[in-house]
Amino acid sequence: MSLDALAAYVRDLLVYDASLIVIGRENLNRVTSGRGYILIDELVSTPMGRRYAYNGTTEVEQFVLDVKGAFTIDFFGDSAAANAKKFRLLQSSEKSFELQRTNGICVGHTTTITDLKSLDGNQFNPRFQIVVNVVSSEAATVSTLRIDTAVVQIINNE
Amino acid sequence: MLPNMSGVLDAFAQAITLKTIVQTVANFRPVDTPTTTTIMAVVQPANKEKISPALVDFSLDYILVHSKSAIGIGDFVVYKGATYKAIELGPYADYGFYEAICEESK
Repeated sequence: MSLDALAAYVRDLLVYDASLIVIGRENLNRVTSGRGYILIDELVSTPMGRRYAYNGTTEVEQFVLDVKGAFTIDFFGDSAAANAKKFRLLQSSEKSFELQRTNGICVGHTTTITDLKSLDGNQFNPRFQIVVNVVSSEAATVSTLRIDTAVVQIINNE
Repeated sequence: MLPNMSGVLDAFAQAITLKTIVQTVANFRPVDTPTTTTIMAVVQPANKEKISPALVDFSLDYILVHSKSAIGIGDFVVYKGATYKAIELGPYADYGFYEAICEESK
């Protein structure tokens, strides 16, 4: 899943505590001041292409969708700004490309870091947001029996 | 010396269930671990108009809970078969009791 892959990419790129990286905000208690959470969420995604494959040995159909989507990465805590800038810098590193290959995603470079705390109505707790475009593939498999012998019936309507 | 006002609750308290939640993160997702206890608390309906407009949902029930037992944000209270989540706390711990506004949880 793209969100898990991006979360793993952020964790390994920044060498960050995995317990502070959270996907989405569902059921997460409000982030308290000083705790350096990184929240990752998905905005809209657009299909770019579809692929299909059938494995006659395993008798499995595979449907693949290449998707491009916008993801938000929100940095909280006292080091929020520093972490956001560090992420933006390290995106050009060799480690970044290796992690993208490992996690099966392509992460676009970000240019803008937005200070969201004022929109939050929060004057003191830092919150900086980065929006990145991520290209990834999603796949679903369906067990489908192989046809070994086709039964063909010719209907002649003469 | 601040007065301990907790004795005021004794005459009106009833037994309710408190589910204390410890939240951790596993595989990038929050995981709640509940611990269930029975506490004595005074339960009243909460005034929705006094709750922060950013928090209140008028389609839900809200209760005001006072207890000598600590209640934290995110903890659940079970009262008359319905579950409520603590969303706002009152700063009365120095006076011997805890206050929580709880939102109906479905």
